[in-house]
Amino acid sequence: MKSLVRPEALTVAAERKPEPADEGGEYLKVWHEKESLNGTPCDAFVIILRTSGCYWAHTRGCTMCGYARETLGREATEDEILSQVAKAMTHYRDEPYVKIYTSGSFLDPHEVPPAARLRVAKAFSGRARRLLFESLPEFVTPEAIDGVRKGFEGELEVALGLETTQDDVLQKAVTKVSTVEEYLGAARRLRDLQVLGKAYLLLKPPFLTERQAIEDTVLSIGKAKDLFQTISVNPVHIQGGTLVERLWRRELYRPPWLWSLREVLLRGKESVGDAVRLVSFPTSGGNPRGVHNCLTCDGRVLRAIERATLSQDFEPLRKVAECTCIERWRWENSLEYLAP
Amino acid sequence: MREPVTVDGTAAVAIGAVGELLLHLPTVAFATAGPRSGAPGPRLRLSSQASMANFSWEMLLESGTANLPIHLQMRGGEEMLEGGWAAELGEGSGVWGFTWPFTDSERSRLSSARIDLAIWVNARHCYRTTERFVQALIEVRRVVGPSAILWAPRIGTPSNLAMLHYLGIDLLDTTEGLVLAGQGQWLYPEFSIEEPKPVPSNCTCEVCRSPEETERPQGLPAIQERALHAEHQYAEEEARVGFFLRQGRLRELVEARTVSQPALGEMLRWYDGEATRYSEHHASVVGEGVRPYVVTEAYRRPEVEKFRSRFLAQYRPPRSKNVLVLVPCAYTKPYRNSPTHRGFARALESARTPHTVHTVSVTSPLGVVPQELEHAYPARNYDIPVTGSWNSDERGWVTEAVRRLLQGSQYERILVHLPQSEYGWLKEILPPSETCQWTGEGESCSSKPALANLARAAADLPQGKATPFENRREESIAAVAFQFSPGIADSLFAGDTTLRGPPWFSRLTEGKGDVLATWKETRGTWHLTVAGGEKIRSVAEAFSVSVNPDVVLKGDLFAPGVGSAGEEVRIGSEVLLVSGSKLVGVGEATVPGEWMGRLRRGLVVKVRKHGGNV
Repeated sequence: MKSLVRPEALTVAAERKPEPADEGGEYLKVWHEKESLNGTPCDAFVIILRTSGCYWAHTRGCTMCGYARETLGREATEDEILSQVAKAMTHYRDEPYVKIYTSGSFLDPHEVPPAARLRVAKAFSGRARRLLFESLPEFVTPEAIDGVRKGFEGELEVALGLETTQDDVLQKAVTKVSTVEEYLGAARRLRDLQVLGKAYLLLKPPFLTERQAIEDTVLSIGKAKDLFQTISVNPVHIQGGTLVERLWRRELYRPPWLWSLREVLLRGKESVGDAVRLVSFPTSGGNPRGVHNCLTCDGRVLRAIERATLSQDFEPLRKVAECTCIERWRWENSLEYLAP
Repeated sequence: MREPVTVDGTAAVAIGAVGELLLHLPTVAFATAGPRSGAPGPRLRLSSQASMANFSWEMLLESGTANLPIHLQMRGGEEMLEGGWAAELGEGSGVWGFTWPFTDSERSRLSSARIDLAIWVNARHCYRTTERFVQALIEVRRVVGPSAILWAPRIGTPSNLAMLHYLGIDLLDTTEGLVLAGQGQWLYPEFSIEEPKPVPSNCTCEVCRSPEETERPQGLPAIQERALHAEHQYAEEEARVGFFLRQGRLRELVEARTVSQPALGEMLRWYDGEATRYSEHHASVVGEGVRPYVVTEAYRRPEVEKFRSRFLAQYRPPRSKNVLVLVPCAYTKPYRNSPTHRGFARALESARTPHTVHTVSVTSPLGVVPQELEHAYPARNYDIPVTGSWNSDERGWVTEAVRRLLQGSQYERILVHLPQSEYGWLKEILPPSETCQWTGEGESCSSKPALANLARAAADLPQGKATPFENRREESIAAVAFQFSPGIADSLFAGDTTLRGPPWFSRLTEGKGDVLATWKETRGTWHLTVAGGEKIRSVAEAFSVSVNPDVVLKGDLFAPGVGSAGEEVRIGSEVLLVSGSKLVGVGEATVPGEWMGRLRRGLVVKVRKHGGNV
């Protein structure tokens, strides 16, 4: 019999790793966005640096992450990183909140050399009040944090892609390299170092039903609230070259509903109270590839989520006008969990 | 566990039992959705016991009188996409979950387990690619065995119900259809239409019957209405599948349903295709009544493929036939009873030795049917649309079969009594004109001038050497060779054997009159006696079923009594029952040989004659 057993989509790392490129001196993206600092609305400046990217993405990768496509294909030198930052700085208008991403870990020395980290921090020192960067938990060490802090006068905030506090979901549905405990350990180290901690939680990794996904994230919010000052709920959006994209193309995966995100935020806010900032900045919201409803009511729900994120007042989101599609959402939720 | 009652191909009407639950298979579980109470009437229901928070599936199958709770932990991406997982869900429950593809580990664990219910956990993932799905299904059934109830969750819809049951899935559920209903679809087995639904509809569900349907409010009620309609369609189609299956005609319903989705056509073609001989193993070798073979897919039904392949592999024209006459097939079956064929026979009477004339009908989709195989299944059981135009497949089948006939070059002369306009394409494979003569007249071969042509040509035919008696014996040998194998035919007719009785009730006897086999014309098969079985035993291993030595065979043979079955045993095969070194009976198989050794319950051979120790 002809073998039709194809090693399916789980090992997509190789296909999405780009060829080594010459663009080491060019940053990937820069933009401004609305944020809030200590309860006051403000503008934020976001830079995405072009580095070698997350090492895990090149080894096996997570089911929903396609950021490996936006990497250099080799390690960037210190000079290249600095050149990227220098070019990005021409767009900087002294926003008080600065976020630096790398499609990986800012603290991974293979992505951003330690000396470069220090100089990046210095570039914003005195101009920004808060500097945020993202990292895998194993790179969160006192030495690494100190290496950045030396150069920056202001608050440091480290974002961890915790995704979920259920190990089962993390290993089977997200396929992360780290365990939940490793993330929580890193969060404790951040707390001890008096660095602000931000958790990214993933809403609806593949292989979960919509209802399981909602419960997963609500549960995770409850467990993460004591260790993080900010919890950001990231609904899955379909990125190129990922497992989730393959499932989505075969109609085996639908990005979460905005109704789900709303339920997660409302129930999550009840659980965390005012102590924790609960936020969500959905990518591709209201688009078939991102968190969406029926594509007609999406605008008003997304606006309500944005207002709640910035003001931390969730009442208007609770009262947002419902649409007939909410019935379809309820209907599918009740069917999906009947059988695998 | 399932106990097959009627087997039709890979589908079975069966009694199923899992734990306390009793099921009439094949069947559909009606999903209970949200606030609705679920299925109408005393049907099998699927609901969830769990609070929604669980990272597991807590399924509950309810029959009205008994429940079956099933607990399934969340499976990860690797298992869902790459397979390689199997486990019993609750020790000793007989309920197994698995994901396909298998590694050797799952294959061996599942094959040796006593499985009552096998849940194909990633069926939905496999269903997206038709070729893979059919391959998967074949392997799944082979591995879990014929006694397992197979459930493929969340893939059944009214339009694929017939197909999926035909391919051997016993249990399906309405979940997918209710999701589609939620998305605005009105489901029918033939197709589905998007909201808003045009009225009136032929559906008799309570929603479609109600006059105020055009005024339907939006939202939940609309979803519920479409869901009620969908459930009605599921129920109707389930009943229809059961009915067709009991009539032995599920295949015809499946062919009719392929028009709803190209995917169904693909599945049927993969299933019939050459890649797997699974469909052939499950095809019946006997049948009753005349059945329509209409769509292209019908021309590749397993029994047709089997007829063509048996013809090419084991058919030998009776040696004494010295003249070949190719004639068109006829609507009336068997052909010899048709007015046209009676006309041909009368015309051929003018030959000096009419019995050495070999009349062979040219037909689609069987290729050719020699006169002595006119009763063999499905030669007297098919009816096709006739237009006089032959497509390349049909020409190929005929060409191949005619070449096979001419291989032995025993025919001194060939008469082609076919209209040249329609069958001109046959010329390139027939020998030159001095030995081959076209006797058709214009468009017709049954008109008076055409029959006169045939009679004139027949009068010039060379004389054959064999007597009518020798000729009849050779025809019978050819039929036995076609039914079993040439080796068995030679061995059965060896020695001092005589054919007795009229042709439609031939008996083969040996010595003083011991009957070895009798001819059943209406079924086109030879039935063996114990003496006949004994005579061919040494060459008939492929048609033998070994009976466990501790079983004393009194009535029919049931699954627990079987050791193993020969490789040629099919539904309807004439089989020899062998216990140790003794032949203990002869009978007719009711399930494929492939199932016999592994079935736990159910009839496997209808025993016709007991022998030896009884």
